Amino acid sequence: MKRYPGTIALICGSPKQTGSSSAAVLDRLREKLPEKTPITDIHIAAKLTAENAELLKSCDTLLFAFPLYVDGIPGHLLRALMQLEPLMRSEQRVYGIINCGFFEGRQCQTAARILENWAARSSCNYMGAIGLGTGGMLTLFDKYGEGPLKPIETRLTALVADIISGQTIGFEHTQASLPKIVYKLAVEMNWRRSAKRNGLKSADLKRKPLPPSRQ
Amino acid sequence: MRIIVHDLCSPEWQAANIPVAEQDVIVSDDGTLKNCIGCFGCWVKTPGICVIHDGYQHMGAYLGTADTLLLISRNCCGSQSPFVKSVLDRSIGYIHPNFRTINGEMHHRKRFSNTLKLHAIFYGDQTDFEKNTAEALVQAQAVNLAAKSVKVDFIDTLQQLSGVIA
Repeated sequence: MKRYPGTIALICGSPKQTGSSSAAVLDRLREKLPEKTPITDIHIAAKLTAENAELLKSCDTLLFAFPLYVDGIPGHLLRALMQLEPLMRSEQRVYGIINCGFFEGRQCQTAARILENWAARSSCNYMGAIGLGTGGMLTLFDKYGEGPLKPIETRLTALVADIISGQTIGFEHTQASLPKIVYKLAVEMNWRRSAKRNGLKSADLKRKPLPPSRQ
Repeated sequence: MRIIVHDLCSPEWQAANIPVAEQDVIVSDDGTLKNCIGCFGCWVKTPGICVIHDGYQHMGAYLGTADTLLLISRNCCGSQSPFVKSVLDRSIGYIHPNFRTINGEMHHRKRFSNTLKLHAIFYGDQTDFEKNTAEALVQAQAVNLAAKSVKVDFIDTLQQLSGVIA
């Protein structure tokens, strides 16, 4: 009888070296896995290295966590997936956790379908993905894990159970439990704060620069 | 004026014989493109311009002066190819970081006053599911780019390219 999940690769597909929502979600998920689960941590921030490709070939379960970029998979991660396609094995299982800065986790569904298509081309087993909205809050599990982020905590706990039992999950989505307007105002306040730290005024966020040929 | 982003190699582009106007901007792979690093500098540091100066940093500003965005891409699992997608990732300076609601969903606000016609052409070996995914992807991108129209074509060979470009 096949034992799940075997060696599990936790693959962070964020281009950020540190502090990404994708890494935060994987950290939270790692804590929920049984203690002796063999884990291989991979970070694909830019190009896929030969070493990482070899590691991924040897894993039984691949869990890709990445941010939604322009409604799809970030270009650098897509390039890595294209490189991995001929290397995958039919016994390997693929899960996804996609996060977006919008409120609604359902906006990650098209990216999940792209991952599913990739798994089909790679002849490995697509097991499903979850879409997480309110991505701007996902680095705050320690503060809000028992509060607004509880639905995401609950979904990650269920995902771990699904991975361990080898269950397919289709596409499921959730987001933090707070009013959309509160999330919107909080994120927009953060943009203004970041701009201020960079020496800009709030009005500068509306700049309409001309391209070189029109200046 | 059109922005044409494509992933064709030089001989393929020449052979496609696509009519190009003098003011059109052609964005192709010269091997120098860096991927987006998720820093949001194009929103909060140099609004509208990417902070990575590799020759592709003005994509947002170019889109702000265009009437059409034409994407010509291999269909990669229902997505634009890594090059075309990376160019799109580097183009988010075209939109404003703040949000608005469209059809009950959160999306970004516009930065520029123009509205684009978005035309995406996918070529290559593609399954029906990959075509459906690509169609859904471009429709979603059109919403976030606040495009006034969207057209998606699928072709089997590059010889069909000029036939689907108006």
